[in-house]
Amino acid sequence: MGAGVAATDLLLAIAAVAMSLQGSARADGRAAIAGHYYTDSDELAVWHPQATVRLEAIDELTLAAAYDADVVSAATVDVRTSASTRAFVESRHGIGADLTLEAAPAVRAGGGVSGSFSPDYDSATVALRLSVDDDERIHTLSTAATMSYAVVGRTGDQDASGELVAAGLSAGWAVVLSPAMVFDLAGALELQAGFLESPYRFVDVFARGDPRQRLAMPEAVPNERLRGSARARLRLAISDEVFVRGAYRFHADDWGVLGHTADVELSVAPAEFLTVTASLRFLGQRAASFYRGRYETLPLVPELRTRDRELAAQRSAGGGLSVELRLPEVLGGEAAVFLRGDLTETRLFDTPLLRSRLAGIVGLGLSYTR
Amino acid sequence: MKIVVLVLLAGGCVPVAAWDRERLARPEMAESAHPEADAFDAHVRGAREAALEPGASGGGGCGCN
Repeated sequence: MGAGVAATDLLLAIAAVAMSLQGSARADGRAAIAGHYYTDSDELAVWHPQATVRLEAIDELTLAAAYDADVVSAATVDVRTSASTRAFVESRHGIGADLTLEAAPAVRAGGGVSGSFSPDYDSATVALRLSVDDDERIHTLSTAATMSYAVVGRTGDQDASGELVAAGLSAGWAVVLSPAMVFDLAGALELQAGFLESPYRFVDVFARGDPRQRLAMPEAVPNERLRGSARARLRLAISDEVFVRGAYRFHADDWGVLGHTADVELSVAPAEFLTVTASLRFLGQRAASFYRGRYETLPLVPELRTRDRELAAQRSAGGGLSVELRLPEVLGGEAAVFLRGDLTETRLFDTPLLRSRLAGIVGLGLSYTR
Repeated sequence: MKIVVLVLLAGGCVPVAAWDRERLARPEMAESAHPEADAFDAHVRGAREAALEPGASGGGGCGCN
């Protein structure tokens, strides 16, 4: 709760500084609040409020600040099969501040800091960004570098904790192909080093041929991980009322995970102030090379072991619907409200404790732009 | 990759004048129509999938175990 109050104070302070920099000039920018609720068939529920503010402090400088939180209640299969089988409720708070400088008419440079705080995971991230448009504003090249430091631990247990450092690089290229089509490519690489295990996850190791003999061992994964992804996306205006967006993403890491994701969205704008969007998403993923549903090797315990379903083979299919209503000329700007709902079913392979998961998301957001 | 090449060949890279960008300026053509919703989706997927989302920053914690 303390972190939440501090974050709200920080947002207000940044907004006040930005407003004072403006003096009597107009206060162009955007402010938004949103709330999402996630729930799934594995008895996990997350309430996620967000607030963001972006202000053009002076002509070339834009300041932004953000706050978000997770209030998590869980009685998942991991919780039910752990040493402490009680369901839990905990919260995480995240804050961020960012600035963007228009260094030249077509050059934007910026950077930001963010922090995330929860009882078992604290992290801080620094990011630097640069983007450049060509003279005709047809091509945009962008790049970013991030560095993060985290302390991961199990609440109340000093022994089950460690540090995690991550360095990331990303690059993107967007091109306007026609008055109705934009194509972009983006790629990212991240190197993680340190404590990559979940301190709460234990893996059952059975005696071969005798399932009654079992040891519950802490998860063990490599101390380094290099992962990357690439995405191609097309945005297309079929008419003044119909818009399509499609994307394909490839992801892989040096633990053996490899996956493909396809997204498609269809937006219909029957009026200037109203947009209805339907979306579909499909994902297929190959498991990490050391992932197994059961470890039957006792008394020789495998060096690497996990039952983390993030690292398991999976397929998921989902769809959603959102409605956005825009109200122009509200206090000299535009107000907008969106309402959305999504459902995703995930099929998990080689995971005896959880074969599938059905997840639902509902969200409501309000924004004001001028 | 073939799709990427075909798209680029089909569309070309011709200059688009400012007065021809009305559709490109529509909110439906923006990089992100709902930045807060996209940020939440990336946050959820970060804890559900092994993928690194291009443009997403590292760290942050998953908010669930």
